[in-house]
Amino acid sequence: MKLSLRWIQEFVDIESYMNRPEELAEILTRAGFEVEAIHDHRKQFSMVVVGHILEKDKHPNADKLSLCRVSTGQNQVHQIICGAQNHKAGDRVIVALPGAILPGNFAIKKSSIRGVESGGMLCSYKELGLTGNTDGIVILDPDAPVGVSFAEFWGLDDVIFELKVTPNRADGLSHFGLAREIAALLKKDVKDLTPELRGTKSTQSGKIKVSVKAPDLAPRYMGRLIENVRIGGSPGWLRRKIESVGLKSINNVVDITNYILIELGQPLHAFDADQIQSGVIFVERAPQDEKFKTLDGTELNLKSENLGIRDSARTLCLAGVIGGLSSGTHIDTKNIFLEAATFAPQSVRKTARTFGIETDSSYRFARGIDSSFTERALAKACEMIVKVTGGKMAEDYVDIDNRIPLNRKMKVSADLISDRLGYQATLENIKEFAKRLHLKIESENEGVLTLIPPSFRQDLFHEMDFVEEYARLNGYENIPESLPQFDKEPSQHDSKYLNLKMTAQTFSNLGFAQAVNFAFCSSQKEKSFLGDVASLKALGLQITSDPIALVNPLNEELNVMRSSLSYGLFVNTLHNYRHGQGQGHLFETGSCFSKVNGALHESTRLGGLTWGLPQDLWGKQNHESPVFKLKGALEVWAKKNQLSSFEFKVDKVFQAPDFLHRSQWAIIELEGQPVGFIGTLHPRLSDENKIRVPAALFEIEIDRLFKRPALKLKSQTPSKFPSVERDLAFVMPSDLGVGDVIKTIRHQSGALLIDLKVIDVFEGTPLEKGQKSVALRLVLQDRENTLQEDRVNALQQKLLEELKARYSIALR
Amino acid sequence: MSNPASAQLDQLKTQAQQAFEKAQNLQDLYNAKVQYLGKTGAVTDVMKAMATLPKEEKPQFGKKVNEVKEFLEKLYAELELNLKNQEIHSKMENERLDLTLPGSGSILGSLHPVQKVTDEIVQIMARLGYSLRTGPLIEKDYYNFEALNIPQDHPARDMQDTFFVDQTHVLRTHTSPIQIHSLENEKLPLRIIGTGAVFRCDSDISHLPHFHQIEALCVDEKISMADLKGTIAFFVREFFGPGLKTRFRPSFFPFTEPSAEVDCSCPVCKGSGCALCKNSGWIEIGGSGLVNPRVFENAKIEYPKWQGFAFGFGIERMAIIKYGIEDIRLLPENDLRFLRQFS
Repeated sequence: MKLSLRWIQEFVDIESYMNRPEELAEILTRAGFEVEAIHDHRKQFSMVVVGHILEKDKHPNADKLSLCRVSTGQNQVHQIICGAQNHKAGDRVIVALPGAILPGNFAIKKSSIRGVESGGMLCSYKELGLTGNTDGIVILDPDAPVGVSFAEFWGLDDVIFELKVTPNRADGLSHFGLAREIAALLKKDVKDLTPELRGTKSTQSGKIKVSVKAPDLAPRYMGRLIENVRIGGSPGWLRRKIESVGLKSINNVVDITNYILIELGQPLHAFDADQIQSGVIFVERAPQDEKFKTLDGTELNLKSENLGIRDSARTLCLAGVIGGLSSGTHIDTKNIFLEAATFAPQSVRKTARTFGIETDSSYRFARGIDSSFTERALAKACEMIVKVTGGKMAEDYVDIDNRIPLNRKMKVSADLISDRLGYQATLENIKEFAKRLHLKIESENEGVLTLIPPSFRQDLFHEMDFVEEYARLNGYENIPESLPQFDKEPSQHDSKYLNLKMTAQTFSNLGFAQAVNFAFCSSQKEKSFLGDVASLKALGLQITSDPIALVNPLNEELNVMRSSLSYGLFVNTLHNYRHGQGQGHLFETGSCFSKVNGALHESTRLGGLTWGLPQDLWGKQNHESPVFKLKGALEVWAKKNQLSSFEFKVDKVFQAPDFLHRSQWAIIELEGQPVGFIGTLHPRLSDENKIRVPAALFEIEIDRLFKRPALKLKSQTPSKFPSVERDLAFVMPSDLGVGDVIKTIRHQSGALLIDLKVIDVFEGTPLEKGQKSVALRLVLQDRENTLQEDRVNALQQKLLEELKARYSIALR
Repeated sequence: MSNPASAQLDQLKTQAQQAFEKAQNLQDLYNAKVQYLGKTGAVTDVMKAMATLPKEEKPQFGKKVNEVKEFLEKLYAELELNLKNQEIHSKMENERLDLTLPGSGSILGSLHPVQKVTDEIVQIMARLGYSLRTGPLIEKDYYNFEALNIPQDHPARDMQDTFFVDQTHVLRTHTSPIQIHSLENEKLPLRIIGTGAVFRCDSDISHLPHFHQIEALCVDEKISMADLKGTIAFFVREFFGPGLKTRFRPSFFPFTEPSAEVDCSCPVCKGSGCALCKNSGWIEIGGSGLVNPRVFENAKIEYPKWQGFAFGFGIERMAIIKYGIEDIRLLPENDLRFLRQFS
């Protein structure tokens, strides 16, 4: 909302703030009307004054330029070269003298044009940043005072505030409303200059009849016929005034309706009365699917919920939102019907949003206007129109009032306010603030006041609403600081947060950087990365082939809720790889989305991606595949989570996800259930995206971890007895999982086996193709006794027999 | 006493001492020891000669032999230690390592700034008895709006550009639905913080469509604006550093009444004016207020028996202020060069 301080000055005396507008801005901001910008026009137009062309000659060296001698009063005469054609000697014009800075940061300097000196510029509307319809320079009325500053002459010696008005303060959307607020804040009186409505109340004004058929959507409908108007350009004062707050001048009648909207907050609409068929206006819901052309020519398909201002044949205007092309005022309009109504806020907002049309009018109706002030706004508008257009208003006016009276009362006491604000409030202050805010004190009973808010404060209902008013007028800065008492046992943090925090710390300690990606992505791109989601679903991931789409996405790149973390991490990897990061580890925890039996489902995932071979110490390469870095990290994480069963399974029954290397992947199982995958990125993806280093990723569902009871950690005293190491080397088929062999060994060894390491894995000559040699180191120890050689040998024998029976493998 | 054996012993002692001291390494020293003190060594031989001595000379001679032996053994031990030290020193001389080379080991991992800020806020608020809650990102319209006193077709809905999933579901536009779930399901009094991702249909140089919030809710039998201000002031000092001031400005949020915008004195310039605070000395950090009785009514909680306050901050904004992040768009980009600074 643009606020002109000059305009405010008409209602409340703020002259003393004109030279320190920032102080007034601070007062408003501290009262909840945040001033976001201050534009001081007086600074903008310094060195721009009204001038008088004394002589006009041709430029000696250029046919199209004129050489003018221009007086700016007090014997100041300037020689100015001008390229315009519309001026003559004797004209009053606007002169920008050297030192002036015109809009667009255009600095005026003394200069030489074709060998002749020019000491300034004669200005056009455009150069002054104004809307004006003439080419050439601005020619003022002959009585324009020479030497007076342009800002003052044009009414631009003004300060404009850009104000943020919160949705609850509809009364702050007009100059009069804000003047009332400023008066309350400055403890001053507001001048109410708006005239009373005169004439006869009726359902008809002159030849125009009104019938309100939807009283629920139009609680009050007023209007008046004004005949024999002359539509034309607005007089300068009117044009300048509405331009000062950023509106464009259209014609005298439209400008007056805008003037009233800006000054009093009442939206008005002027119909061409001769376009109203049969002379009857119906305020009713539009017929479903009626076509309606707005005044800017857009055709809308109306719905039966939209309120229309209609005649016997068609909708003339979309109530409170926008006028129709056929029924508005234009240059030939003779008679106008001026509407001043109150429409139901929800209905106007809904219509405006349905068609995506927000106007100054719909904005105010949606927030709620003061329907008790409508008649006076109408009175002032009619007076102005009669004065400016020479029309004559009908003796009777329309006022169809279906408002349901609101019984708003607030009971407040000093105790209540003291309790809620945390400092001592007084009855005297309550009374004073109520008076300043135009609240009526209905009664006072043992320190409890019953307050009735004024009609323009539609936000005041509840005692707490007045508590806020008290705090505001007393100054929020006077609220002290204290801490509330708390003598109850605090509750536990959410287990999901705690678990995710632990997860983040674990992975970051292992060298992973935490990524946080958007929860939405491009449907097409994610789909093309993931491929067939059936294989992912089989691995225990909650995923569906049709992701959850947004009804109103920002763009196609962010049109569905993500199905996976993998795609986002892959995108991050591309970004990093292309920015010179040849190696890195990322992890992410977060929600992924799917539809389960048609219902929206959100599941929590953990994912990681690592790419590049780690640079070992000073350039010595470590050739371990990055997939083992990931697996190692997951194993540490599983340990931190005290997972009793967390397995990496290679099972040919399952199909590899489309984005993984077919021979380098595994299913991850948590407590016997598949929860996701780990594997090397498919070489096709590396190739297509020019990733020249190996990359691997995993993704698992982790929701079930949050529901487990907290696990207890129980310590064990280390055995006092010596341990025995036994190295066993086997030759086995290449496709036999060493993990399976280890699992068997662990199972058979029981508590005696305290550690098992893989110390060598080898393939190639002298071994046959399809064979590998695997060396394992078993560390054995008894808790109760020194482990004797014969027990170790017996165990070894048992293991070898079992391995032979199960896998047909033997010691090398 | 001057018998030949005794004189021989003296001579041996001198010879042995010279031989020991001449030894350049442990082996020579050991050889010398064997030569004099070994089973067939010279000193041992002399001791054997003791049997031939007259009985009355035996004790005195025996004593002398022992003295010589002890002297030599002690000398040997000293020299052996010296030589050992010398050997270790020369060995170390050949094992020189350049410790100005970089250390081996892992790459630094890191926590995302969003996680870091969240964890820190949770830690601070936990000291005041607040415990953390989370909630779904896709919310029912009711929890995101209606329950929070934002009815259908109310202009307050314009304050939050909403992503819609279907007729009744939205991507939550704030973390406040978490408050409603807690009010509906938990016992009073209540001190909770809600955190997580939120979404607004708005994206430009200073807004992300997916960002994060954290908010606190305190419900008890007597709660005032002063309690709210004191709690936020404590939080601000703990989070940004001591000495920072908190300022309240009236504002409007449908779920609080009275409502207040919260500013803190600029942590960079401490109020004297800088680019971060646009020379105002103050930074806007979030919204707050007393719980609107209508929110209680919707959650079937009795007012005025129960009262409460709530406040909320944008986590990205907190991170930007605290870590001096120059562009909010760095946060979702997940560039390692940026992320690794937060280890």
